[in-house]
Amino acid sequence: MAPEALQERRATGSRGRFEFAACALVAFALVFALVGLPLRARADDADPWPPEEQPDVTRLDVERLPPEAIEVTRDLYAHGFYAEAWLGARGYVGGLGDMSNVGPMAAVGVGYELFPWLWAGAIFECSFHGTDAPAPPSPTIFEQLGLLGTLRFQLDLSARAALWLGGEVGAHLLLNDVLETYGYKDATSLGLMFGGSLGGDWHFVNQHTSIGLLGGARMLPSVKGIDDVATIAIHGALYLRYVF
Amino acid sequence: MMRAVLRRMWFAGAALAAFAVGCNPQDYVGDPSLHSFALDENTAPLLMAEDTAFYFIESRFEIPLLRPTDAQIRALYETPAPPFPRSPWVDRDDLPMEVDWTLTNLADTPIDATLTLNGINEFHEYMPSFEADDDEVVIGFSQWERTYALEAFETRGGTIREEELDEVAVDLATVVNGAPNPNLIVYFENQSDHDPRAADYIPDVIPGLVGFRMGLETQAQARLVVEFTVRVRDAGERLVDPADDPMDVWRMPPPEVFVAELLEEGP
Repeated sequence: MAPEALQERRATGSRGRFEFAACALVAFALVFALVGLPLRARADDADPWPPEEQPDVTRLDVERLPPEAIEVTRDLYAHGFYAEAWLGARGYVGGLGDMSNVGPMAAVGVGYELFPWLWAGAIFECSFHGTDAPAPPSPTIFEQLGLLGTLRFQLDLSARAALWLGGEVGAHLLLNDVLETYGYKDATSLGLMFGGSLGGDWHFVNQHTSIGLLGGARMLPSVKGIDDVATIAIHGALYLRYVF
Repeated sequence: MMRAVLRRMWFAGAALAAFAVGCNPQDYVGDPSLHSFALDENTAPLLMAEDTAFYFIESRFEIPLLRPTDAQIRALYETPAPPFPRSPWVDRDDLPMEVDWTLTNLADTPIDATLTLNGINEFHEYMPSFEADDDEVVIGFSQWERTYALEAFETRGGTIREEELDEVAVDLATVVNGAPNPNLIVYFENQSDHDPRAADYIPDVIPGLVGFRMGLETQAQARLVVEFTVRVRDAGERLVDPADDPMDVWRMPPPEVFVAELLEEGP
């Protein structure tokens, strides 16, 4: 190789090495800047993470928020005509109590809520009882039917709980003349019946429906045994009421 | 909507009332409806043999029947039902009845006692035979009878069911229709509907019972009380309450007493 060419080649090779070193230095600095800056920024940043979402004033975001709960009051319930059904038991004290057993009782009632504290209505009821007396005759059953008018006074304890006290007057009919064989004269004739009931009412979270427990007593003055003691009928029941 | 609900409740109430009333079509008959009779130390024996006395008392019970109209009586006579002179006003299924009874020994000594029942229809009533010779008393079977050994102060009770009294009605019609051995027919273990000895004598028309005589038999002095009630189902609408409708009660002619003859052969 000629000496001039060799010298030129040496000069060209040293310049290439310099260029490679410069490019590497720039690339390193660039990578350091890209990776190192966020790390530095996260360590030093005072903002919360993850970032809080601020309420948006747009219509869509307002509707997405939960509505505020409405306070439940009795004003929200239905008022006016009502119907109710009873299911319970009835027994007797005095008179028929000496020769009968406690038996199942059912009733249906309708009425109207005149005021939140005053209710008026009517009740049709029936109950079934076994006889429990020395033979003859052999044990059998008798039924009591009743139709009553009622006036109730209600005390609201809370939005869902209430107490009521009702007076009742009407007529009863005892079926099965087996009662006359035991000395209850005219027991199967239509007779007067009066008394009262006390109840506790619990309203469902529903505009129309409530449930309750009641108990009461009624006098049957015409149902007397040979000892001339009148009969008192005592009842207890679970009821379901629907206000239209 | 509310009107529809109220209408449904009204129908439900009416159906409930009808169900309650319809469940109980039976009547305890009589005023008072508890009947009783007793045998005590003052009761004279009906029959005496050499070493045997036979005590027997009865209580007669008749159902108050609705009086048929003249036209109905004529219609009954226009349709004879042999061996009876006319068709019965009370048919076999018109007045099914049950008798609930108790038998109480009021004495402090045990006693054997027999409770008996003999039927009455519009035409006949059954009378068992009683015979005594020097040695013994022979008693025919009643249409229904049960013998009980009662301890001191013991009370027994029971029910004579509808089907037993129906058998009494059939037996009464059968024996008056010429069955040769009434004691065989009325014996309580012989059932007319599957006894070939009775089948030929059962008439086509069987009058229903309109009453019965309930009795008590012993062979020693005793202090016994029988109490009973009669429960009737007025299926044929033949029952009337004398207290409410005294003019509607039928004063029917007294039935003929059919006295059963004792034969040598037992059942």
